[in-house]
Order: sequence, then structure tokens, then C-alpha cells
Amino acid sequence: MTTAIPTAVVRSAARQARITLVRKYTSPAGLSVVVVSLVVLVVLWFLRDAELGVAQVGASGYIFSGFLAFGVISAAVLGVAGELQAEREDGTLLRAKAVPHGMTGHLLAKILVAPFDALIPMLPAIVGAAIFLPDVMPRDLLGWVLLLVVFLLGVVTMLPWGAVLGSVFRTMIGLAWAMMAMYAVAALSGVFYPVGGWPAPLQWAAQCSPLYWIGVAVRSVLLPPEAAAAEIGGEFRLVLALLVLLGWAVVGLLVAPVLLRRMARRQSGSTVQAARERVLAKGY
Amino acid sequence: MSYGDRLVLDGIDLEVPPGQVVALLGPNGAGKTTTVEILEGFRQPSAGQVTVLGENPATAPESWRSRVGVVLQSWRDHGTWKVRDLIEVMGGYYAPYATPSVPRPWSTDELLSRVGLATQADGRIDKLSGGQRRRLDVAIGLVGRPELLFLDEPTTGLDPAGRRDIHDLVADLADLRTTVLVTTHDLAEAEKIADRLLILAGGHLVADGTPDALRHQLSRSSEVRWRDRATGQVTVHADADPTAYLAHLLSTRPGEVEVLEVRAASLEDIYLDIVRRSETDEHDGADLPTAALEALR
Repeated sequence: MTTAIPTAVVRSAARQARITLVRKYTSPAGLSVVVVSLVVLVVLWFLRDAELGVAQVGASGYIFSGFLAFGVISAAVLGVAGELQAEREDGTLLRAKAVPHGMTGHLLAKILVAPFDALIPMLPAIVGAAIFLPDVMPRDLLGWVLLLVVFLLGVVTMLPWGAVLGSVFRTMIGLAWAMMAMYAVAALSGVFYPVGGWPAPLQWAAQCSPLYWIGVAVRSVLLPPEAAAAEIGGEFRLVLALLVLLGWAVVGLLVAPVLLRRMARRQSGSTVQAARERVLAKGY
Repeated sequence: MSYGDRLVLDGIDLEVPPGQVVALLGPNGAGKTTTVEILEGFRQPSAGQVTVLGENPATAPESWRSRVGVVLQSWRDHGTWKVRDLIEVMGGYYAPYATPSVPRPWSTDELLSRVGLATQADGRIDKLSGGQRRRLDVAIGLVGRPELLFLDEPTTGLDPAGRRDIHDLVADLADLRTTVLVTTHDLAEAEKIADRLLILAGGHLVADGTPDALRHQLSRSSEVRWRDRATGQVTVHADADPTAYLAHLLSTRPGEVEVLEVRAASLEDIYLDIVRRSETDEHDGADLPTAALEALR
């Protein structure tokens, strides 16, 4: 049985998303995320003439594409997972559950916020690079469109998996371990560099992760064609990357609602209270 | 209702008519939270039937949720938001359920004024005091003009003026035929705002009556305390009707009685007595809840 979502709920979710973004990015804590972006910009500037040996491609291009790819992953997976975990403890999810269509609206607001959460922290680096380092940016309109497609598809792909992590791990410490594992996978999956020179088993392992395909897709849009030589098979395989990401998105969108519903079902005043008492007693 | 092998609620049979203000009392671990969470639809009972506003709360549609308001103790959310923003966003979810007779959501300014937060409307939530935060929780519970409101410890952290505001608000809701279920440890508050008191102990409903019924029980439990002028010995005598005892005492021991005190048992005494008896009877295997109920009637 399907239940239509009233337009008033969509409006409330949109309003919730707008307020969330405004409150977040007008606060000192929210603005602090752009510092990383500025640091990356400085690094890019100093490495603007450095080249990577194999493909004779500028190092700044690899750093910038890795930064963008990981920005998407970080916001859509780690950010959402951390928020869901915190919201279970502070009662946000319970508050949403207590109003009609509240949980649907809350998750809809999260989906609306996610692309901005991915984009805003990277914005200084993107704008700065467009002005000072045009070589690392798309060269034409098609490139910009493709970058936007890859960006949005990356968010859509990774967002459900962030929800899965946030649903499965109930404590901050559990989630911290999951995040460490995520960083390890990111480091080994070719988000930041091509893995074409790796042994075949490692190449296959890297390709099992959606992170690899986000990295490939971003590189294929931002790097010059000759950089493809360092990739697996000597080519970027952008179409395949988009299809694989789409597949991961479909699987995530099938799995995440089941786990989110289970998590929502378990929310009650006593579970929120128990979580708070655990934090007070153990510190996490 | 049981958690694994542990029975936490057993044979609760309860019917609440519309517009009644009911206070649910009981010691820690009595099953209050479980009872309320089942009624709120936040927990599925392991057995039995529950119907709230004509629906099973665990499977009720969203339209049912629009008729129910929930005020919990455990919220600490949306700290960076403005008070007005949170109320308006939460209120927006009720808009599809407005009817000609029940405009939903409640006007934000009117609601804030009712709960005494008008001057904090544009302030940040994490800047509110504990009492103000409590008022905000109550406001959000009311924003959909619920037919049934669950209030969990509504006056915790409030100063006397704040408590009075909440009590007045509950009285107003009763006038509007809103059914209210309050859980509280404050017996005086329960007596003041509720039409009916329920006492849970050990997973059983051990008392169910109006405050008048409790007062009737109270009138049957008085304590006479006096000191013997010669020996200084203090005697305490409990009696349902102390009049006869007093008459007998004063006529048989003229001049010997000093510091005479007659004290009616408080609601707290009654409550503690009922709970204690229910726990003792439970250990003895007797049918305590029934005994306690009979004692109240």
C-alpha cells in the first residue's frame, strides 16, 4: 500500500531544509568547514606546476578531483550517518515521529540539504580554482554539466548508504569505527589517485567500492584525456562509472528505507532517555 | 506486555472517555512509560488489544497521528533554531488535517502566548531556560490541536508561576474537550489537574479513581498522636474514624494527655500505602490490585 505525501509535508520539509542550512552556515561552527577548502586551495596553488610522473598530468588536478570526490562522499555518507546518530540521542527523530508524516518530512529535508552540505564546504576551493587555477576546472560547458551530473549522482548514490550507517550504528563509538573503516576504504579505493598500476586483485577490490567510481567519474570530467593512461584499462570509463553509481544508488535506495523504518520504529522516549544516560555514564 | 521473560504490564484494563484529564502515577519501574509508549504508538504490545481514538496506535495511519499530541521529557533537539521556526515547521505537518471545526495548526503567536513564550519567539532554543524549554515542548505537543495529549512530567523544571501556567493550560484543554494523559511523580499536581488518577505498581493497575475517591480513602486514614504528661511516652494511633477514639481517650485519661495531634493522611500517604500493599501482596501471591481498588472505593 502506498501513501501519498501531502504537499504541505513537502513544504514543511523544504522549510526545514532551508532553516537547517541557514542556521548551520551562518554559525561559526558551520562556517569553519570552509577552512579545509581554503587549505586545499593553498596546496593547489603551491603544486600548480608539479606533475605526476606516469601520465605527465598536473598534481593539482589529481588533488582537486580527489578533494571534490571525497567531499561528496564525506557529506553524503559520513555527514548523514553522524547526524542520524546524533538525532537519535537528542530526540530529533522522536520529535519527527510524533507528528503526522514527520519522519518522511525529516528525511526529505535531509535529502534536500545533502547536496548543499556537499557543495558549500567545497565552494571556496571551486571558486578559487576557477579564478586562479583554471587548468583544474572543466574546460567547456559540457564539462561543467558532466561535473554537475557526477556531483548529484554521487550524492544520490552515497546518501542512502549514509542513512544505512546511521541506522545500523546506535552509538557514537560504533559509528566512529565505521567512519574509520570508510576512510580506509576511501584511501585504498582510488578516490584520490588512479589505481591502474596496482596488482589485479587490488584493482578488482577497489572497483567493488562505489568510492572508486566516484573518483573515476570526477577525474574523467576534470583531468585531460592523457590522464586516462593511468586508469584501469587505460581509459576513464565514464559511462560505466555512471551506470555503476546508478546501480549502487538503486541498491541503497532499496536497503536504506527498510533500515530507516526499523530505526524509526524503535524510537521512543525511553530509548532516547537510555541513549542520553549512556552518554552521561560512558561519555559516548 | 513483556520484555523477554519479564512481564512489565499485566492485565491493564482501561477506558478513558473524551475530555477527561487522567494522571498516571506509579513508582519507577511500575510500567508507566511502557503503558504510555504503547498508547502513543511508539511501542508494540506483546499481547492484548489497544484502541486509541478508534485505532490501534501501532498500526494507525498518519491521520490518527494528527489527532494526538505528545510531550516527552527527553527532547534536546534543534538547539540552534529559533522558537518560532520549530513551531511553524512542526505545525506545517498538521495543515493537511485541518477541518472547518478544527483549524490546524494552531496560530504560532497565539500558541506562544498561551504557553508564555511570546517574548522568546525569535530567540534561539538553546538559549531558553529549562522551564522555557519545557513550555516549548508543550507548545509543540499542542500545535496540531490534538484531541488527545500525552504529557510526560509537564512541569519538571518549572518555577511556581510556570507550573501554574501549565496547570491552567491543562484546565483550558479540558474545557476544549481535549483528553489529557499526564504522567507525573507530583501527587499534588495530579490531584490538582486530573479528573481521574491511575496508580500503576508492578505492572498492575492498583488504583483507578477520581481524586474524590482518593480523598474518601484519605478520610478513612487518620492518625492520632499524643504524649502522656506523666511518663512522656508518645502514642500513635491510626484509625479510619478517630472521633470515637478521641472521645474515649479524653474521657478515660483526663489531665494525662498533652501535645495531642490529629492528622489526616496525605495523598502521598495513601499513594505509598497502596504501592507498598501491592508490592507486599505481590510477594505473598495475593490479588493485591483488586484489594487496593476495593480499598479506594
